[in-house]
Order: sequence, then structure tokens, then C-alpha cells
Amino acid sequence: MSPEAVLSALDPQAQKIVAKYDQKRAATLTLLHLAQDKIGHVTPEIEAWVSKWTEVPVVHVHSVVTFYSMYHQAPVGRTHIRFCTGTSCMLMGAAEKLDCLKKKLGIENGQTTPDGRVSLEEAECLCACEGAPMMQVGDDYHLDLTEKKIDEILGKLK
Amino acid sequence: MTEPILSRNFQTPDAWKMAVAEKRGAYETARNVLATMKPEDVTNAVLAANLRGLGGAGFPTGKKWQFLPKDGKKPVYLVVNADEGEPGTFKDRYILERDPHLMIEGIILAAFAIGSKKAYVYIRGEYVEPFRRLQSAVDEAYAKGYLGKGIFGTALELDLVVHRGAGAYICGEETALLNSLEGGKGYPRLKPPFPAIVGLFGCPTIINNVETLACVPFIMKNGAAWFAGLGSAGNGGTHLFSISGHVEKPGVYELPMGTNLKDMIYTHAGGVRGGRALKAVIPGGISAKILTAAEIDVKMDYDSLRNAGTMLGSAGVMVMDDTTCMVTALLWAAKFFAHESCGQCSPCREGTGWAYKIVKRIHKGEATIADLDSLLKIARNMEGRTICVFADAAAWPIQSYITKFRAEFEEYIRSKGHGIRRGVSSYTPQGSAPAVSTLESSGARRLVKGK
Amino acid sequence: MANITIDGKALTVKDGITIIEAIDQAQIGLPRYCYHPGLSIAGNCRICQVEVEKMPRTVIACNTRVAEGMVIHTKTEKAKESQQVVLEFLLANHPLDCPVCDQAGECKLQDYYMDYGLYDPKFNDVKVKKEKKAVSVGPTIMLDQERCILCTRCVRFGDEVTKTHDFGVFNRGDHSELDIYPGKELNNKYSGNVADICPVGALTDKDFRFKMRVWYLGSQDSVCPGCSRGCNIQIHYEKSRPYHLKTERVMRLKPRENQDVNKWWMCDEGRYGYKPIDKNRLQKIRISRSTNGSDPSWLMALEKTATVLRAAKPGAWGVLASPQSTNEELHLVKKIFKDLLKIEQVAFFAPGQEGFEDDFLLKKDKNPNSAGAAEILKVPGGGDLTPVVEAAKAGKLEGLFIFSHDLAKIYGAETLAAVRKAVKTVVYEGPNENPTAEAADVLLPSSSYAEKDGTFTNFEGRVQRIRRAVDPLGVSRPTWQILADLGALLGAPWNYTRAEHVFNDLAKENAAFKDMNYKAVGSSGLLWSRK
Repeated sequence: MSPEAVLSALDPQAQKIVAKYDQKRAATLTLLHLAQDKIGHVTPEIEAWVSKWTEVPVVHVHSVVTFYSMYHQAPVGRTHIRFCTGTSCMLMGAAEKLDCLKKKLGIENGQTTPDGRVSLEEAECLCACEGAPMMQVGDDYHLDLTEKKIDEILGKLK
Repeated sequence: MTEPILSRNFQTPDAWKMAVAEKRGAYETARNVLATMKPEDVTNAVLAANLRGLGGAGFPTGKKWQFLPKDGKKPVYLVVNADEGEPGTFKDRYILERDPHLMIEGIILAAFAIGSKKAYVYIRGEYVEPFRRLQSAVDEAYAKGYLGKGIFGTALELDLVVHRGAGAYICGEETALLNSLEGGKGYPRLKPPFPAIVGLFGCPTIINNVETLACVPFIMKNGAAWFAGLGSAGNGGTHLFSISGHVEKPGVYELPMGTNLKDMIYTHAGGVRGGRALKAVIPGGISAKILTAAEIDVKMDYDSLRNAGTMLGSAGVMVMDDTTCMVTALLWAAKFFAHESCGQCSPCREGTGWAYKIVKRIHKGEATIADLDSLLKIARNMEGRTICVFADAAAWPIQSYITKFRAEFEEYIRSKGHGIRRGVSSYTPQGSAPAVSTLESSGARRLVKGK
Repeated sequence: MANITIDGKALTVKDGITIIEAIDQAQIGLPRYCYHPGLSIAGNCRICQVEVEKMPRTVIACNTRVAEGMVIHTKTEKAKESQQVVLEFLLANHPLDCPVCDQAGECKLQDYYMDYGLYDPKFNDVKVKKEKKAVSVGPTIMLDQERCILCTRCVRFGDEVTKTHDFGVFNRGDHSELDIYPGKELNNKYSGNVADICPVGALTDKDFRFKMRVWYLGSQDSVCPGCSRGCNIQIHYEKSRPYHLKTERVMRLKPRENQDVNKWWMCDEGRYGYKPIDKNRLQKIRISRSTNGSDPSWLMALEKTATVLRAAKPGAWGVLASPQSTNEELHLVKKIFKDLLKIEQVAFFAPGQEGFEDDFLLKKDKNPNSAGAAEILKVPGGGDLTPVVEAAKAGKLEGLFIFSHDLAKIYGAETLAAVRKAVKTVVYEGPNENPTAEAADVLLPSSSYAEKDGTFTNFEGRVQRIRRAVDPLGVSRPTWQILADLGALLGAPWNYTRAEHVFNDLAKENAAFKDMNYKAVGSSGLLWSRK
């Protein structure tokens, strides 16, 4: 499906979302999440689509996209990993686990594996410090990371 | 303390589902209050209970509610700050994921008190599973008639929208949160005006933290005096303390306000891992000034910690043992602030980035002692000169780490870092994770969501 | 009203204004970047720090309201330290490329460094690199992201004034950068204003870039002649090297604040409309098309004109006066042609020449003084030129005196040719070349608006002064002077040496201008007294 077709298919949902808010512009973040989830990253088409629904000038939709770390301006892997680099994770050995993960994937922060499978982002505290070191794989939190656990998690990825 | 309050359902399987929650008494208080009491009764109870904002600022909640204009021409909004992001803090996630109905009940009571017909919960974007559970709880509450029109069969109405953030720590600042909720960047707003007067969509708005609202049903059920009596003077109730770092049993602990930090670490959290010596503790999330091992005999409440030169903040207790390198700790903290500064005010935008660059140089062994003083100067110059307190929060770790561990910093610089470049220590954890197997009677246990 | 003290000066100011407004009213200097009185308060640059007694920390003057009894200090050590450290932060990642920056000389980073900074720079680290260095963002403006201090004035200008939403600040922290939307361009009718309000060298005006260092510029207050709004402007001209047939003297126009007319702004059409001051100017006096040989003098040309006018049959001439002329000049047109020579065929309004209009500044009437022309000449039918031109074409006129109008542009080349053929004597008076000037028998080169004094009346009846910024080019003379001399030759009882004298007589004779004089009109203008 073309991006335009994907977005027009989302129109009914967008209409419902916009209706939940007291002002249209408040739907900006939600619509960006919705469209990014479908397309993978925020394209100019998505920005225009969000601008249309929210009546927020497209330049400001773009500044929102660039402000928040969860919006991707370029394609990411099929699975996006956020590795927590908060202080508690640091205390519990995040640096070594992060190095280990990078080695296994062969990529650095902000990169995607050549096969497009996994992308890696060093994230700020994901607030699961009781299970430090930890990372978020797709939507899910994985706590108490060890090298073995990282292997298992990566092994299950498509 | 014998009974867990806020955390009473944390270990109950499926307590996030309506059927289970209701069996355990969810919504009884709200139903009862809405049928029999007046809005001001709720505000007065919250005031008398000494409930303070548990998101970090510690402002008396009832007083905040009273700031709303009395003439009431515009709609009043209730906004729930579920943008948990303060490093070292994870307590709100437990409520959102394990007992969302408790918070929804708190929202119903608060909305009733302040006369709001529309509430928004702003939940951190990365909290996907908590969002799903909360949304499902909200849907169930609508289905039951606890939200929407005619709640609990009264003439009252309340709409609740769950709104996801998108990855920006600053949105935990309440006016940045409002801008973000309105569809913009998370830039904090100039104050005055304060949100109680000009808030969401230009209307009077009350912004409360998840845990703060979760306290309200208990205050209404058991009475303000009971709640106030749980804590210390002026700091009512219990608090969910997030304890992490080098302790044997990291987790969320529900303890009375004013619990001694030393007890918290050594009694509740099982002491420093492997029996090692304590080096330092951050008592209230990354922004709080660090305490040395000698300074931990302190009550954990807003006023006591302020008197100790730091703050309770979000009650995220991060424990550091003697293997911790303070330069590395400051490096990760400085990185956090440089990465999360919204960039609006020049002192913070430029200062956080500048400080991070200097700390990086120190960490790489490429700095001089004079750089420490430059750092302190940057920290001092950022402080108090910006729209929100983020710059102050960024200054405090710099100031407190360097001041309290100056000798270590100087030694590190002189020795060009002992070859330590990253990581924290030479300490290798024994086993894969801190061993925790038993539940604290007073508190919650860790949520481990593995796959 | 609130009684406050600023730097020891007791002031009574309006309740609820901000400290910076009070400071500006009292004309006390205070640095500012993000604050602009025409835009919403952003409070992000943080440099306008002042000390307020009984407040623990310095506060920003732009977002702190005055209160009764407030004691404010802008120059105490505490206030100055705050201003200085903020400046140091702003300069931390600034490239300091002043030698190659066109803003040098009017850069607020430079100015405030000298006034409030003068610290010993401590920044030893690598500055943040930004991608866009001297990049065109549209037809008029260049962007340099590294110089930008993110004050967001231009963002707010686009959001609040033009509502074209051009700029945004992308990313966050010290990677924040100013830009327009990828693939779009800054192209609105007021784009030039962003260069004016940019306090640093981030947005510069392509038209002016590298033309001249600003310290070589002189400035004169004037009024834009581009439409009937009459935006208040400053004419910036080269002052260092007097003009001797160089290509350009006027370097740029800048808007001048007038709350009743244009606030702080002007349109691009007006801003970049100054070129005719130095281009395509009529440089020679001409008496007859067939004349070759040496140039005639003004006396010869005016005597020739006076002679033919005197010899004419009553009512046999037509006059096409100009709404580009000043009130003074139009008054002399009335005195000479209507009152003295009893010519009835007088008009001024060129039909079909309307341009773009919006609900902000731009007016469709692209003349600065149509209202003045209508009021002073009091001609029937709205002053439309067409009946006079038709009469000329039909051979009913023996002479035509044309001010500035180009008949070829208004009616087409055939009409000009027909008029030329049917009318014996055509006198053309104006500053710039055009086919009508080319076709005239007598050519009187006049000065541009930048070369003379006078007044225009804008669309709402506001009389505003223009002032001489540069000398009349070549032999050209201000129209009022040409007419004063012509009138004297025709026996008018006057001896005007300054435009002001003409205005004083106009004020005596025309009720709309009653009690006005140059001093009273001042720099912000005066509204006509309505009958």
C-alpha cells in the first residue's frame, strides 16, 4: 500500500481520536503515534496528514516530531531496542551489557542492522530501575539483563 | 506499619481488571462520596490529611485545588501526570500497571472536588503495557457507568482521555506537559500565570501525580486524620519509595513518610549488595543532591530532606556502594540532562551541553583541575535563571558530586582516569540479578516482565 | 497607575505593564533578544535580568509585571552578573565569525558583549555544528543556523503577524536549530521583517547582504511611497562617500515604528521598492524633442513652459497631476493650474492600476498620496485621468502637463501615440524614465521622494512627513521647487524656499490641514481634522 493509502485507511480512526480532545491540535502526538506504528517512521506525508487533521501548521508538526525521541525521522529496524542508560542501570553494569548487545548486533547507537531487523537507541531512564540493567524491545520491558538473557531475547526476534 | 495501602493490590493477580478490583473494594468510596458528600468535603479532607504532591514538588494537594478561580466561567480540567521519567523512579508504573482502578477512583474523587468534567491522563510514551492496561481499565469503567455521563447514577459526568507522551523527560514538568498535551513541544510555560488559572487550552487546570490521586480514595475512606497520622508532621500518608542501585532487594516499597533512609536501605531493601560499604545515596531521583554515606541518617520526607540540603523529589532512592566511580556517575547524569534539556532557555540549553562536554573530557582523562571549577561555575550560572527548574536540577548533581567527592574528582583528573573509561566499577555482580525472593509485608515487590 | 523606582528614578506607570515596558518608557537601556513589543512574550533568552528588591533572585523584565512600590535595579552587580552569564551561555556555541558576518555593526551579541559582557571567555570545548550556514530559505532571506540564538522572534512573527507559519525550532537541547519546513521556502509578502527582528546574523537580507558595512550608513526618517498605507520607514543611504554618479546611494529601507500606521513592520513590496531612487532616473532637462546640442538650464525650461502656458487659450490645457506628489506639490498644482491659469481639466487618478491588498498593511492603491490629491485638488469624478486623456486624444487640448504618469503603461502605447499626435505641447515632470517622458516636448526631471521634504496623506487621512535623505540626483529638483519657480514666472505672489513654507500656506487655505505644521506633524503624523 502507498503511504497515502495507508493514511487514508487511518482516517476513520483519526476522526475518532480528534473527537476525544477538546481541541484538534491536542491529537497531534496521538496521530503521530498511530501513523508511525503503521508506516515505521514519520514521513513528510504523515506530517501533512497530521497537520490536516489537527490544523497545526506542518512546520510545527515537524518540530514536534524532532523534539520527541520516540518519533523516528528515518526508517528503523523491524524491532527497535531502547537500551536504558539511566543512573541505576549504569550502577548495575549497563555499560558492559550495552557493549555486549552492540557487539552481537554489530551496530552502534542510532543504527539499524543491515538486514533491517533491529535498531538500537541508547535511551534515557525508562524507569524500571528495580530491574537494572534493562532495555525495551519493541513495546516490552526486559529487566535484569545478562548476556545470556540478551542472547535469548535476540534469538526470538523476527 | 502493618497494612499496605497504595500497594495493597500490587501482588493480586489481575487487579488491573475491573472484576478483581471491585471484589477488593474499588470504587466503593467514590460511589459513596459522590452520593453523600459535597465537593468541598473532599478538598477539606485532602487538606487535613496533609497530602502533598507525590510527583516530586511536594506541594500540598488541597491547597493546589483551592487555587482554582472561584467564579468558574471556564471549564476546569484535571490532568494526571503519569509521565514518570525521573531517573531512579518507577513507582507510578506499578499503580498504572497493577492497580489502575485505584487511580481512576482517585481521579473521580478529585474531579468531583474541583468540579471538572474532563480529565486527561498523560502517560509516558515508553510505558506501552501500562498504557494498555490503563486504557482497558478506563474502558471498563466507562462500561460500568463509572465514567461518562451520570456516573454512579448521579447527575455528574466525567470524561477521561488517556494520552501518550512520546519520549521527553521535560514533559513531567507540569506546564511542559500541558504544552505537550496540547500537541506541541514540551516547552515549559512562563509562570505566572499558573495552570490553576490558565492551564490546558487556556482553562483552569489542576495537575496531579498518579500516586497523589491514588491516595485520595483512602483519605476519603479512612479519614484525613488517619492518613495524616501515617506520616510525619506536615507530610501525610505513606509513600511509594523506588529503591534501586546497589542494594540487595531493589523494588518499590510503601513506607510511611518520614521513614529513616538508613532503615530503608538496610532494613527494607536488604542492605548494600554483597555486604559492601555504602558510598553515596541519591534520595529523590537524579535531580536530588547526593548524600554521602555519613549523611543517610535522615527522615525521608519533604521537610527533613530539604533541611538536609537535598530533596525527597520523586522518592527514587539510588544507592551506590564503594565501587562506584563518581566521575562516571556524573558523566551519566550530565548526559541525561544534556539530552533532555528542552532547549528553550539559553542558560539551560547551552549550559547542560557545555557541562556534559567538560565531564566527558574529565572522564576521558583530558581535563585539568580548573575544569572542575568551570563546571561549578556553569552550574551556578544556570541555576535560577530559567523558566523551569530543570536547569537547577541539572546543576545540583554537578555541584553535589564535585563538592562532596572533590578529592576523588581531582585524583581522577591527575591520574587521567586510572584507565577507567566507562562502566561503573570493577565490581562484578554475583549472579545475574539481585536475589529477591520474599515479599515485604509493607510494600510491593518488583515487577519483572520478562518474556 | 503604579509608583515604581527603576535605577533610582521614580516613575508612575500603568498598572500591569511589564518591567521591560516600564524600562523602555523611561528609556533606560536593558539588553533583550527574544522580547519584541510586537510579538508574544517568549521569555527564553533570559538576558533581560533585573534585580527587584525583596525578590530572592533576579527576574526577567519581559515577563514580570510591575507592582505598586516595586524597586527595580538594572545595573547593580547582581543584575549585571545575571545579564553577563546569560550572554556567556548564548555565545558558548556561537561561531564568533563576526569578520565575515554581515550583521556586524548591528548585532546585539556584539553590542551587548561590549555593554554587558566583557567577560573572560571560558568555553574551550568543541562547538555544536549545525548544517545550514548561509543557506537561502527564500527569495529574500539567508539563514545561518550556527549564529541563531533561538530567540524565536521569527517563529512568532510567522505565527502571529503574517500567520504564514514559516519557521520552527527543530530538535531539542543544544541541538535545537531554527529552520523552515524541509522543502518549503520563506515566501510571504512580509518576509523581509524577519531580518529586521533577528537580533543576530542568523537571518540576513539577501538584498543588503555584503553591500555595505552598516557603519557607513546614514539614516533618514521617511514614509514608504509604495502604497496608500504610508508605512513609516528609515532610508539607509551611503554616507561615507558622497554620490558622484555611482550606481547606488540608497542601500535599504527599514520599517520605523508607528503604532497607528504600520506598527513595527513593512511589506517586501515597499522594502525592496527603493531601486527607482537610483535607477532609470531622468538626468537631463529637455525643451524640445528636436533639440540637440547643449542641455538647457532650468530657467530656460521653465521660461519656455511659462511662455506656452501663458499663450494658451483659456481651458486649452490639461493637467495630469500625480498622487505620487506631496501635499505641498499638489497644493502648488492647484494654485498654479486651477487658481492662476483657470485650467479645469485637472485629474490625478490613474485607473486600472490597483495592486494587491490584504487586511494587514498592503493597500491596493499603490500611491502614497491619493487622499491628499483628492482633498487638495477637489476635482470631480474621483480625479480619473481618462476624461482628460480622451479630450487630449480628441484634439481638444493644445497642451498637456503630465506629472509622473506613464500613459503607455496606463492606456497603452497607442493612446500615448494618439495623445502625442493630437496635442501640440506635452510637458513631462517626473523622476524616472518611461515612454511618456520620452515623448514629451519639455522634460523636467524631478527628485525622488528620498531627495526632498514634504508630506503625504495616507488612506485614512494621516499627514506624514518625508525628509530628504540624499541630494537630488544630477540636475533634478524637487517638484515643489519646480512648481514654485514656475508659479513665480507666471506671476504668483510667492517666494518659497522650503517645502515647509508651502505646507504652512496649505494649512491656512485647506481646512483638512488646519493648524498643522511640520513640527506638529512630527515623526508619527497627524490626522486630518474632519469637517
